[in-house]
Formats: sequence, structure tokens, C-alpha cells
Amino acid sequence: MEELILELKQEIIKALNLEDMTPDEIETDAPLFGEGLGLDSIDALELIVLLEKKYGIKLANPAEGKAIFKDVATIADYVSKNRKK
Amino acid sequence: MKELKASKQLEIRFSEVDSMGVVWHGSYMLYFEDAREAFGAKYGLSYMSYIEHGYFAPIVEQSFQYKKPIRYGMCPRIDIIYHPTEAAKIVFDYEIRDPEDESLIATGHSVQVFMDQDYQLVWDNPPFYLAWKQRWEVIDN
Repeated sequence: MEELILELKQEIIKALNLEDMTPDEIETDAPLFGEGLGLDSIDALELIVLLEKKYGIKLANPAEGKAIFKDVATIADYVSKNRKK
Repeated sequence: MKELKASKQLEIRFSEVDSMGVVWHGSYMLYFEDAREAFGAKYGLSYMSYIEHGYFAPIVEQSFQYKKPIRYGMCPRIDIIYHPTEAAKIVFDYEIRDPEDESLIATGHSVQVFMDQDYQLVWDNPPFYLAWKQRWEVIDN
């Protein structure tokens, strides 16, 4: 799981062009949206592409997505259970 | 991947010139809008087509770099280039040039997203937009 968490942080940095950040600076349990990393709903559109391309996961609806994108730990948990690649 | 690009010659209105004698920076927003309309007409991705399919496509990001002034009487050309993205976004780059010497006057960038009729952000590519991307070969799969 630690490995997946690190990979997710690297992929999030890449997907959202946060190149001046390091994975260490993204806290695993800190909110990604609003407070914490400060992402917005437009950034979520890139995370959706990331899940689909990298892990073969297609999110069914936005409500589900909002819960999954809570923080890196929650995404990692969801990916490990639902990944198709 | 194909590059999709449209161009339009701008007609500068006298009312767009500010007290420094150059086109006011805010006017460029409307030139970019004109460019999006020209692109939509050329490639079948117009504001009306969004509405016909039940979506709106609001601008959520727009930036400008002003390099040279436009003066009244000039006839600059705006080029609009579609920036391919897999996300449910419409991304464009813009260049305004002086056709006299092809010098660069301004550049810009815009991002649009899709909203449904309830004004909610659409997370996935709407089917009509996905079909459009495939038709113009601006998507990998």
C-alpha cells in the first residue's frame, strides 16, 4: 500500500502540473480539495482520467468520485480494491 | 495526432481603443470568443452544438500574454489551436499576429468544462464530445 500511495502522489503531481511539489509534501490523510492541497472540482477532471488510464477504473458518478477523492489514502484504498490494471 | 487550427481576421472597432491609443486589454477577451466561434464553425464544435446536446461549456480559465499593442487601423489575425486533452475539457491556445510581418502580438490559453442543464460540472466526456474527438483524431484510442 505504501508503494501505491507514493505512486499516486507522483501521478497526481504529474496530472495536475504540480511539478514544484514533492510527494512528501502531499499528506496521505490531508483533504485534497478545499483545504489541504487546495484542489478544485476542475482538477478532479484530471484525476478521473488518471484513474481510468493508469488503473482501468471508470467512476460511475460524481457523487462516488467526491467520496473517493477525499484524500490520497482513500484513493489508494479504492484503487487497490478496484484496479483492472 | 492532428493539429486543429482555425483563423480569423480581426476588425478593430474604434470603441475598443483606450486612452493610451491602443486596443484595451479587455477587448482581447472578445477576440478570443470570436476565435472560438470561428473554430466551432470550421470543426462543428459550436456553442449551439453544446446546447443541442444538453450541455453548457463555460470558460473556467483564460490567460493572456500581451507582447505588442494593437492600434486602430491594424488588421491582425487570430489563430486558435485545439489543445488535445483526455479530460472532459475543451482547451485552446491562441496567437494574435500582425499579417504585415507575422510578428506576434499576443498569446493566450483557455479552458472550458461541461455543465449539465442543472449547472452541475460534468465529470466525463459527453458522448457527443468523445465522438467529436474520435472524428477529428485528437484522441489516442
